[in-house]
Amino acid sequence: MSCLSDEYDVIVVGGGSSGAGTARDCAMRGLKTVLLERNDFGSGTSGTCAGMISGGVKYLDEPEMVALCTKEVVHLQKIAKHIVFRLPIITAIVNEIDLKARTSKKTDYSQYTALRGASPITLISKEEACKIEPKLSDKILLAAYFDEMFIDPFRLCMLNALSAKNHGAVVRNYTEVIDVIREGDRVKGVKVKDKKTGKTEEIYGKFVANCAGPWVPRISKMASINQPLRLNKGSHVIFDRRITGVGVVCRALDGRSVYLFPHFDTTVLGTTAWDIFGNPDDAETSYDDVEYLISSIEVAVPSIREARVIRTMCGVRPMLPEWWITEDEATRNFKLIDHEQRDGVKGIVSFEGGKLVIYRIMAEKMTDLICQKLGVEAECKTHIEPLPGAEGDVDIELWAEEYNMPTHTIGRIASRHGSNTPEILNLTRENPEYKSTICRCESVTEAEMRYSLRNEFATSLSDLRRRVRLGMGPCQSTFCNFKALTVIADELNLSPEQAHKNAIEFAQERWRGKCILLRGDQVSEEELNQAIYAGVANYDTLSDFWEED
Amino acid sequence: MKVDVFVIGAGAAGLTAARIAAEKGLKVLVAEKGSGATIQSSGVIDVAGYLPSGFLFASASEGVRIIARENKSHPYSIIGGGQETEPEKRVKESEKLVRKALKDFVESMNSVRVNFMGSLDENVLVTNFVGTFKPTCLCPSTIYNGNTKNLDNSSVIFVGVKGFPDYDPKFCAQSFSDIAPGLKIKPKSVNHAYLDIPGLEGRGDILAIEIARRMDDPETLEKIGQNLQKRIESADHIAIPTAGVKSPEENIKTLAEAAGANVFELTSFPPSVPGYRLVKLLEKAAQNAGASVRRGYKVVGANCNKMVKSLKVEIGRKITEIEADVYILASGSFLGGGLKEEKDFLKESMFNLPVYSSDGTNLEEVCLEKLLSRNVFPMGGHKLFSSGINVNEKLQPISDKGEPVYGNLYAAGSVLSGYNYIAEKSGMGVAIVTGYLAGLNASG
Repeated sequence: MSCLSDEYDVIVVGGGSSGAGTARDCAMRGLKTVLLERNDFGSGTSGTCAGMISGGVKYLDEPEMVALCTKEVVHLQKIAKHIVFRLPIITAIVNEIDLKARTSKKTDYSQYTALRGASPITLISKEEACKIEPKLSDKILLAAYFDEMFIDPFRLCMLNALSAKNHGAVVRNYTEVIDVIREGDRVKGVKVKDKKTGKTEEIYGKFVANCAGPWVPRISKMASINQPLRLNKGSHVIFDRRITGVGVVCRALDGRSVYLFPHFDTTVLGTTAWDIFGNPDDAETSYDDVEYLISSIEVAVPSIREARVIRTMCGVRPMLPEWWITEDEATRNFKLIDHEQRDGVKGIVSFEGGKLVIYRIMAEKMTDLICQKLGVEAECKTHIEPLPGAEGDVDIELWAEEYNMPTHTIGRIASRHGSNTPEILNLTRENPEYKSTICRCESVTEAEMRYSLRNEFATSLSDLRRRVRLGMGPCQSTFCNFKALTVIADELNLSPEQAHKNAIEFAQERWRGKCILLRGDQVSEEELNQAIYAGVANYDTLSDFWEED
Repeated sequence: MKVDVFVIGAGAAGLTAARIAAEKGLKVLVAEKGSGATIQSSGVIDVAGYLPSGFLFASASEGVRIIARENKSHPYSIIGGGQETEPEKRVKESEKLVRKALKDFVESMNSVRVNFMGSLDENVLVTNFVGTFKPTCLCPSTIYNGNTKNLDNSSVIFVGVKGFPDYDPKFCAQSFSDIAPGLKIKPKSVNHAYLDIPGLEGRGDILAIEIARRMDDPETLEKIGQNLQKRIESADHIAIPTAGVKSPEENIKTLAEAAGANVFELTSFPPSVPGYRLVKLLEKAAQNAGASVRRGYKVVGANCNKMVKSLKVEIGRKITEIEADVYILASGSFLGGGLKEEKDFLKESMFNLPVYSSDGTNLEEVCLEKLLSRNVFPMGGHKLFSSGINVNEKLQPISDKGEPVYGNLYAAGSVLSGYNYIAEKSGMGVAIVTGYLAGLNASG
């Protein structure tokens, strides 16, 4: 059901950082582009990382990688300045084995830190380290002090998709590729299913850019291409507050590294690296993952056991299919695969490997290849042109006065929307009630929710979680769900049944990460959640009720 | 310091037990570390709403009878004599006690000048802020007037306040009218409106308590009544988010006269004004009977051999030892602080009593994950929230062997195992009935 004029130049599959980044680059270079994401932007691998865009301190054995990462961080500090933040980090050297291993690295990292405007790595004594971070154990030997940049990965993916749309691309989330249309040695398009309506359709294009991360093999298989990857699971534990003032890194029980990063209003402890061989959709944090992480970081931060875990989070890394080395030794670089060359199949290109921090250069290389094949000459500008919200200046105090709202609230909005913040605040001119804070943990106002639902491809409460951090704080949506569901119902004109189901889905998604490790005070928090939604709102019998109807 | 009865916890169970013991002339002290979990409740008295299978009880008494017959470890069974007793006798005894305890509760509320309405022989459905409902038994008259049966064949208007984010009358009205057919009621019309509350115009982040306080102010209430009259042309029933803290019944009357309609309150989520009112009323009733209720008293340790000899209580920074003849453990579930998780297993917080799941498994040996469903709101609830301590028919905590752990310790409320108040909709009912019995038993 498609004539030639409907044909796209590029069909990008996958709305993570590499896919959304590729769609943006293709659209900016004038290619007719469609971006397809089966769930929501940033709901896969990109959305389950700690958001660190490291200058590459972990890859000192790979100087090229360090140079590449550093360059990309410098770009991101410009094009996504409003969602990038700096975090000082202490690497605690916990024992003699650790000390020996740390001092044998080849590259001098300091030459790169200056480029990012970051402090150089300084070796400091145990006493100095404990002064900076009192939660550190007094049994550590030595410490290194440096800093790294972080980014909000959810917004990064969405902003790339939004920018692609602003440059003429068609952008669709909740659209799953269910088949690849291949004729002879050429891929001609994809068959997709709209997950909201259940409708299927065919989309034709000159190129399919397979940016599906750990699901790359699945898409390739649909085109009868065999493309194994090394899938590697990374689990995180999330705590209810900022436990430490700075990030803490230390050697894990098995010799790898683990980290504890304060992240917005929470703290993220990560990560594991276990190879997985099953379906990446089924990857889950296990009890052992959690114990491994806590027992490892405990050596540097002994009080961590008393901290309150709010949830766990798990993602799958799409690593290069290199074996016989440990995950830590494997490169984090990426490969761009031209399947015409490798498998004799035209019209499809894909990524293997990669990392969040280099998503842009990955996208640039892929777009270069596609342009070259299409005979299009256009320059990459994704490192120069700012993403939406990074174009202008932010003046929180001025806006707070102008709109009569707390600076704290505006600061939060600005940390997500940068120079577009006034567009949100303007909504409160006509409707002052939109100033209401719906999610108190993360300071999310009704105005911001409505703006996001109107402008940022959000269609559910779970999408709003990724857009504006709704329900991401200590209460994990206990106190915002019942307020948020009425806002989304009004904004999207949902039926009450749809809205209640949306709220249940939102709670279910939170529960998936909570039920693995419901401990300590979080048990009582959950009792309250249950008492509100099952007890008072009667959601445990409600689903039956709608069916009867 | 020495008292006759020491009650741990100032929720519905503890305050009921304290009042009963005080009414018998005993010197009663209630120690409460914070505010208790009852304050987080919706403020109505659910007694028995559902079986774990989702079967809806037509009345609380039917629920109590079925539960007492079928579920031997449920508090409603235990108070009727427990496992050893003939089922028929158990059912009879249990129902008798539930009726007595709730009659006593209603009278005690009357004594503090609040009407709780409803009957054990008919469950009513009450609507909440998001336009869904739950079955309940007794409610303050301000809420009872809005039970769904009352709304049949009439016109209903849900009234809200702009800038109060907990409650959107438009959504509530839509949800209510969508659900109504399934409740076998046919309202003639369902609408919504927004009401200006003097002093809260043009604002966001309005709290329920702010609306309530304005309702309690006679001048403001009069203006609210006038606004209601202006906004609403005609309706049989008007739903409002809250009627006030101090004088909700009088306030509702004033508004009803102004609007020429039946006015009622919706049930709501924490921080809920009716929940707050319920705790205050229970506390007042207990104090009127002579009990002393102390907040900021945290029990941190116990001196026991075969009896509880004294409790260590943290008051401010000081630790004081308090002796009593009898102790009542009404410390709540996880939310209240009576139960806790420690190193993957469950513990009772004050006396380190063994904790059991509803099927009788000792939870010192079972990992917590086994008590959770992968479904967030499963029918019948998560097993975790029906765990607690086991008691005998006198409500004395018992050991694995079934023997009382301490001769002078009784327990009441959600620290008990064997029931899931969230799924059953039985929280306040079990708390008040077991509190009542514990109070009687403690008084000898």
